[in-house]
Amino acid sequence: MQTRKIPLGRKIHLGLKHFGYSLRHMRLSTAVILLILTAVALVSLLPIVYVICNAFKPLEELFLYPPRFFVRNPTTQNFTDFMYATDVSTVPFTRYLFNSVVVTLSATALIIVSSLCCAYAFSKLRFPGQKGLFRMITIALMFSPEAVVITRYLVVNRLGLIDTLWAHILPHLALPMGVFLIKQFMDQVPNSLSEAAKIDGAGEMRILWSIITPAVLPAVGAVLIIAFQNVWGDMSTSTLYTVSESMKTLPYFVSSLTSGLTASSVARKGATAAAGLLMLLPNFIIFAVLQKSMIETMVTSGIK
Amino acid sequence: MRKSWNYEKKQKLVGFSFVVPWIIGFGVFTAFPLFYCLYMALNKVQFVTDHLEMSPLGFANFHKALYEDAEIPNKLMQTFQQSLLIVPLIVVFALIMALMLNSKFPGRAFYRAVFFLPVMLTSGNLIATLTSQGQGSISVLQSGTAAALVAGIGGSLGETLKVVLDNFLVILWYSGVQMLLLIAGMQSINPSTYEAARIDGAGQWEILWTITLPGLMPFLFICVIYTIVDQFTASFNPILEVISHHSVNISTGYGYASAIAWLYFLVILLILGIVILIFRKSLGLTVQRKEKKA
Repeated sequence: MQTRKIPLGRKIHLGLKHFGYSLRHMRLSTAVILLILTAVALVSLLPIVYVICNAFKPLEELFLYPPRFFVRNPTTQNFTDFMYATDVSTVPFTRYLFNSVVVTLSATALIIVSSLCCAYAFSKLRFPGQKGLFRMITIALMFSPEAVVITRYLVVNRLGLIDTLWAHILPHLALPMGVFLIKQFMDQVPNSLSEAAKIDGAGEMRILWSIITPAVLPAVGAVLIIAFQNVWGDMSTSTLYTVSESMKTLPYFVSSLTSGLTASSVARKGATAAAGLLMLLPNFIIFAVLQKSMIETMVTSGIK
Repeated sequence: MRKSWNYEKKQKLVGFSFVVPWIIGFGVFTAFPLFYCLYMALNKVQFVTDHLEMSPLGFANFHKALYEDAEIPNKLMQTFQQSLLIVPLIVVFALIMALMLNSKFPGRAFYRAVFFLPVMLTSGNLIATLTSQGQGSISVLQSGTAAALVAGIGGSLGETLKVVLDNFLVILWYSGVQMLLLIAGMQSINPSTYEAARIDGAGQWEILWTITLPGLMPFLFICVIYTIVDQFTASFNPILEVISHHSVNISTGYGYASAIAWLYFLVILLILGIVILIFRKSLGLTVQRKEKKA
């Protein structure tokens, strides 16, 4: 036992939390990891920086060709323009905002609850036709909404949902990815856990809520993010399923700012850039709320 | 195991009641439109003032898409090849980042938060925002970002780096959720397994290959599926643009668009089948191991 050769892999210690290192190795690998992570983090933050910069660019910089990445002479004119645009719109701006908030909140909540229940049944309960149904969901994952636009419209129309807020919510509900993700995570939770609770007399609802759900929180978080982004940014339900302005949502309003090639729509280019940033605000809020809990869960209460 | 018939029956009912709400929504808004779409693909669909007029065509729409329209097989092939390249890249990148984020280093919580922010912002929503701002903001951003980063380097090295970065951005934008899933998966591996391996004298590299990766297999499978779906259903996908275009085109009609959509669907199913075949062995193994443990 004199000079022991250090295997190459030792320097980059991958995925191991409970490993005793000599201080020297740890420093080297840590430095490498920190360096790479910092670089990637910086690059991935750039789009956000770009949107922020755009929101503060004066008009002549927005129309500059070739476009510049950073803002040279920052101005808040765009936000003033945006406020002005919201003032002159036929329906008060707050109406769009209200619609969007109601639709997004209820759709996201409904997606999560229904996906959790459905995934629980597929993963932990037994019922006839289970395998066939799940196979169908897996296949349905592959079909994109763009392809069924017209048939979906016919269904929404037949159900009498046209020009109601339900038309924004219901078509989003059956999110195959939600069930698929959560079910796959639930499969990793040992059955003994729920069986023990069952022996102790807990009902299915209780088991799902207080035992299984905490164990699959990361998947729920991921579904929440996907669902939120699907609903919040979706303009198609506004253009397809609603007629009156008062039933439309924010993304529609934002895109209507620059529709058409009139002089005012050119001037509103700035307002759109500002709106682009404002539209991202809820994402920041969700980030602030989820950040702590999601990351803590990821560290401490994994599925064991 | 003696259970009364009544109990069994009740259990089945409970199972049903958990899936019913979701399945109804799914049936009405996804499954039914899907098959209605297939029906339309077999017809010539025309919009008459207040209703749809259909005349049966048989497989003429499919035949037309495959043999007469040069654009369709071409675009299908193109999407197939692209995904063959980009899906593994995204998954491997997400895996490497997840492994790094999961290892022990000072400020790990901070870095995880930093990586979580782009997940929140860049997967989808931001890209949609950029698209809505028009004039190819995305390409501007890509070249703008790359240009800003390589401005100091210049020359042919700078150019090469720019191309790499252009593609790197796409990979980065679409790997956020996968990172999240894989980190969660890594938490599911029992720490005592690592400890045992360490005591047995296994090196880091061996541990990665014999414990971390096999344990991650179910999660890698989820990631691959997610990535494929994400890539193939992104609305700026070339083939979906063709479909959207034909949906409102009166001369070709919605029936034709439906036929293309179903062809596309079949191509994705083929890829899905391949993925399931690849993962079948490793997934089967994990299940067996778990059953042995239990």
